[in-house]
Amino acid sequence: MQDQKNSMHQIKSPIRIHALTICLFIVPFLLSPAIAHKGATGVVKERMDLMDETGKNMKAIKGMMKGKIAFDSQKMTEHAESIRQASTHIKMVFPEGSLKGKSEALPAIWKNWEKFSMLTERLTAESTKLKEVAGNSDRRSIMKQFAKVGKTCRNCHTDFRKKKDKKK
Amino acid sequence: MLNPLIIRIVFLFIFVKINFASANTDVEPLKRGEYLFNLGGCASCHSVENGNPLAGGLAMATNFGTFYTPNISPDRSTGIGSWDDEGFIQAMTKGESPDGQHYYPSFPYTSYSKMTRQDLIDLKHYIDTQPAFSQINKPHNLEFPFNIRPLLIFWKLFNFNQSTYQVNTGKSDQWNRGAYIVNGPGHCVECHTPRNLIGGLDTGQLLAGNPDGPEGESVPGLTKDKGNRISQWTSEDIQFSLQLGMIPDGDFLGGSMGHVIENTTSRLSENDLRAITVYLNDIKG
Repeated sequence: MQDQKNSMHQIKSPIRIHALTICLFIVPFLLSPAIAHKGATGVVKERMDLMDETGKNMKAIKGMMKGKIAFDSQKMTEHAESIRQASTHIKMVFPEGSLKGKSEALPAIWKNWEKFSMLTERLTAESTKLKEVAGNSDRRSIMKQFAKVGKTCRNCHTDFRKKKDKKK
Repeated sequence: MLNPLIIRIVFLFIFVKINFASANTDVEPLKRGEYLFNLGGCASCHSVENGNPLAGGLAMATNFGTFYTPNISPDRSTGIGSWDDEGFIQAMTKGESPDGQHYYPSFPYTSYSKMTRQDLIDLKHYIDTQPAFSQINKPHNLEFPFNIRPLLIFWKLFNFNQSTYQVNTGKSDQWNRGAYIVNGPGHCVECHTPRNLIGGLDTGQLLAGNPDGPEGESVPGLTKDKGNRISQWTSEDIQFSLQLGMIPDGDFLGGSMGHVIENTTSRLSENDLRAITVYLNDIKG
C-alpha cells in the first residue's frame, strides 16, 4: 500500500513540475499590462507602464461610477491618489527626443513643452480634486470631477500621442 | 353637404400638421443652428489653436498635397458674410462656391449634401451671428494635376452622389437619425471609410476603417467586423467613448478623434448619441 502510494507520487510529480513550469511562463504574460507595448524598452517602456497603470485606475473608477464594481470610497480615494502620483512622474519619463521603438509620443511634446507641462499639472490638480470628492455621498459630483480628469487625458492624447496600432 | 368623415379627416390632418411643425420649431432656431454647428464639427477644421475662431488656416496634409482651410467667419470680404442662404446651401450640397468654383472634397460636402434644407439654413444663420475676422485664405499647395481645380468636375462625376438623406422606411426613426448624423452632418464616414485612388469614399466598405487616414493616422473601423475593437463594445461603451473619449480598457482617445470629441460628440444630446449607437450596431462587417 505504502509502495503503491509512493509510486503514484513519483508518477505525478513530473506532471506537477510541468504544470508549475507552464504557469511560470504563462502568468507573466497574463499579467503584462498590454500586448501592444511588448518590446518597448527603457524610458519608453517605463512611461507606457505608467500610462497603463493610470488607465487601470481610471477603468476601476469608471466601473464604480457605472455600478459595475461595488462603490467603495476608500478604494476610490486610492485610485485617485495613484493617478495623482503618476501625473507628477509624467514629465520625467518624457526626456527630450525619446521617440524610439514602440513609442507613440509625438515630437510636438518638446516643441510645445509648455502646454504638455501645463496638462500634466492640470492632471495633478484634477486628480487631487477627485481624491477630495471621492468620499462624497453625491455621486454626481464625483462623476463630474472624474470627467474633468478624463478630459485632461484626452486633451493630452489629442495633441501629443499618435497611436501606432495598425489594426483596424 | 360635406361628409362629416371627410371633415374629421381634414381636421385630423391639420392637427397632425400643426403638431409636426411645432415639434420642429420648439427649440429656438439659433439654438438649433448652434447644435448643428457642433454636429458638423465646423470648428475642428476651420479654426487653429490660438487663432481667430472660424478664420481658417488649418493645414491638412494629404497624399495630394496640403490643403488650407478657408475663413468661414461672417467677414464680408475674406469670410462668408456676403453669402446668402442659397449660396451657402450650394456650397454645402453641391460643393460649389457662390461664384461657381468647385471645392476640393477635403471640405466634406459629400456628407453635408445629405443635410436637410432647414438644417442648413439654421446652421447658416448661426454662423452669421459669430464674430467676423478679416483673414485672407491661404491657397492650397497641391501636386499636379490636382492643382487644376476645374478637373474636379470629373472627380464629382465618379465620387459624388448629390442627394439629401433618404429615409430608410424599413428602419426605426432612431436608426434613421443615427444614419443621418453619421453619413450627413457628423460626416463620420469621411475618415472611417477607406478611399479609392482618386480620394473618393469607397462606399462598398462604408465605415470599414482607413489604415491611411488623415495626418497619417490609422482610423479604426466602426462596423461589426470582429477585427474592429468597437465590435466588442457594448452600446454604453460606445456612448461613453463619444462623450468622454474613454474606451473600455481605461485608455483615452486622442489624435483627430480628440478634436471630434471636444467639438462634436461630447456636445451631443443623449438621444443623438443613442441614435448613433443604434445605427453603428446595425452595420455588418
